[in-house]
Amino acid sequence: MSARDDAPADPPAGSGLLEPNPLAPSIPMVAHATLSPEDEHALPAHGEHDRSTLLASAALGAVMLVGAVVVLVDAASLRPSDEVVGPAAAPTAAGILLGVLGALLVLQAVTRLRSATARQALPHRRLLRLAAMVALLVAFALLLPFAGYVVSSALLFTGAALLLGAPHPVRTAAYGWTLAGVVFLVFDRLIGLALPAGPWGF
Amino acid sequence: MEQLQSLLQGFGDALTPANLVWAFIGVTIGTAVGVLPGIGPALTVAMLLPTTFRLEPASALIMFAGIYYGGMYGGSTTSILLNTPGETASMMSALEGNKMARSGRAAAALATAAIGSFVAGTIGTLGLTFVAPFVADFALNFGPPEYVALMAVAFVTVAALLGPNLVKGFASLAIGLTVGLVGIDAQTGQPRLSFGVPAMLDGIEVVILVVALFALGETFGHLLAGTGRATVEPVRGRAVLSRADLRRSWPAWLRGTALGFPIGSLPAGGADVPTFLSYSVERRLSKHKDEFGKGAIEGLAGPEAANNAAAAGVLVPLLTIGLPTSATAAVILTAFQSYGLQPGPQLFSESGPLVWTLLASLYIGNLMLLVLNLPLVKMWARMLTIPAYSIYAGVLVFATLGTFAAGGTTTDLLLLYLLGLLGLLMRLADVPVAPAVIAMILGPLAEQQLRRALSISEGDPSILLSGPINIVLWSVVVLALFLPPTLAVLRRRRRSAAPAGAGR
Repeated sequence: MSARDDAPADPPAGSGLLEPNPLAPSIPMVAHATLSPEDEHALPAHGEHDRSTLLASAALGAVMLVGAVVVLVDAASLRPSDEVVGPAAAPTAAGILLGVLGALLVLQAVTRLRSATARQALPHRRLLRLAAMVALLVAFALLLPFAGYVVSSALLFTGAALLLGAPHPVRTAAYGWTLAGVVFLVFDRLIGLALPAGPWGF
Repeated sequence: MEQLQSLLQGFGDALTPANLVWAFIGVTIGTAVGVLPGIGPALTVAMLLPTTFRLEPASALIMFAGIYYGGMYGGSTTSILLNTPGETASMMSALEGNKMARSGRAAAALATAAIGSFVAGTIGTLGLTFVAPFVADFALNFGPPEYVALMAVAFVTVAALLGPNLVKGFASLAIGLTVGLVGIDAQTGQPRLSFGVPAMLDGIEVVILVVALFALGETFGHLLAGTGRATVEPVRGRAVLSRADLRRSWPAWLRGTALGFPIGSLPAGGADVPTFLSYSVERRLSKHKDEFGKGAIEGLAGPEAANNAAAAGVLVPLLTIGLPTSATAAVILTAFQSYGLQPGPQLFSESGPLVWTLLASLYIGNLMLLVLNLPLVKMWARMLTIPAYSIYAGVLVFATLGTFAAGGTTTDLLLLYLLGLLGLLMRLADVPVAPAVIAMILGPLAEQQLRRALSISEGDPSILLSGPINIVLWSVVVLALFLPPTLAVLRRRRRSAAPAGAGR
């Protein structure tokens, strides 16, 4: 959400202050209901009718539809009890809610797509960077029990900061080791949280 | 004055050196995370919760309360100096506050926000002190049907008020309800939605969902959105109010408080509503209407006070009926539960000294925050120059630490990442995440109360509508479903009827 002069190499996605920010908090309905139109326009734009927002809504709706099927199948496999509200009641309700709302999200997005304001698609480099971040996080999870907390966390910090555009690798690594060390000392030694120690004890 | 005596005893306990230190740590962390864009009090309490299980419950809760109040103070600094409101509640503060900062009046803007927060926070805490015991007494009569109705109110209002439209608000709610279902069914002992994964048999920790939706969703989003540029406005001079500014500020503070505390203390998800209302009221009443949109001080003072008063108000339903109506309140409820305490009418009778110590520490924290924020505001403003990559990389370190401490397995971390990607998709789709957090916590409680209610009535659903309280509450549910969309449509119609040119 923050946006300062730490821009990584790629050019900014657009220019102008009113460029919709996909990370701005959504403008809630209460704003539509209480503010005058001109005040509402002054709020930072999220781009509710943006092509990318609509595509994301459709994707979320699709995920929810799949989730609905999973939830309903799981609910059907539960042994019923003789109570009025059995074990399957709440999952069935949640599954139906997921399904209906997922379908509505897809529908809403598809009908609005025609009148959507076009905006340049996300550069592939950014998607690659997201994939790299997820890979880094998974590597951290797998490495943690073996390499110990300090090593894994230092690597996580350094890798994440570099992916987010940190300019000085060496300095960033130094920050990472320092932070990991301090966290380990405070939370493991001082507070008594048992963090994974690794072969070297930290 | 029974309360006064209990409160004095609470002050006695809160003023011990150890508890003062915890309050100070809390407000300092709170201000810092409020200032840092991308981290809020809900996320911070969630990340710290699993790491503080060795502390005394009172110490931890005092610290969390400090973080809760401190986050509100810090958030205003960011909206004023950076114009990137991180949450709905500080949206309105950014509107006038950032304009003031741009025209070189950052110091006055920060001063009115800090003093307004203090005034509203103190009045709100006073309100909490005197209203809460009465509400708790009243709530002692609530049975399962009333709890079912109250939770229905919370669900519907949160979804209806926080989403940009009903579908998106309720989509978030449905996601949260589903996540809350994971784990062993309390009635029959059967695992639900666990797919044989051992880490999921005990259910998904609230901490994991909150950290995933807030920390990972935010970091992933930042990675995708790349960096636009926003400038941090400089703070010139000391943060003091001129006589003219004070004259324009104090009525706005009081009006904001008068809107914020009552609305915040309703058992409905409306803590953000008063900030919007307050802005509209100030604009209507102001003698300087032409300054609105260009940096009118009352347009900042009112919403900022309303925000803090509402934050105190939210604690009323949280402590007295165990009903969280904001994401942070939901996490604080989890904190109580992790220490074996159940907020609700019995809390005041069973853990009275703890509650009163907590309330006393809110007054102390508020005073500390004023001292921390007024003279030291430049130091906090300097935190805004910390580059975003350090903030987000650091957030990831603490997010994984909190998750690992809460769950303790690699599976928990992988689950965190999956939910984080879901959070990213929600963010990109303009779906609010707070309803999901509240629904995850309240969903299982609602199921439990519904089961109790129907076993009392031997399956007759009419028990849910028995008594005037239930009928009122269910009417509110129906109203909340239809009122906001109707109002929004009316506004839109009026806007299109108005002469063109109002658009951007």
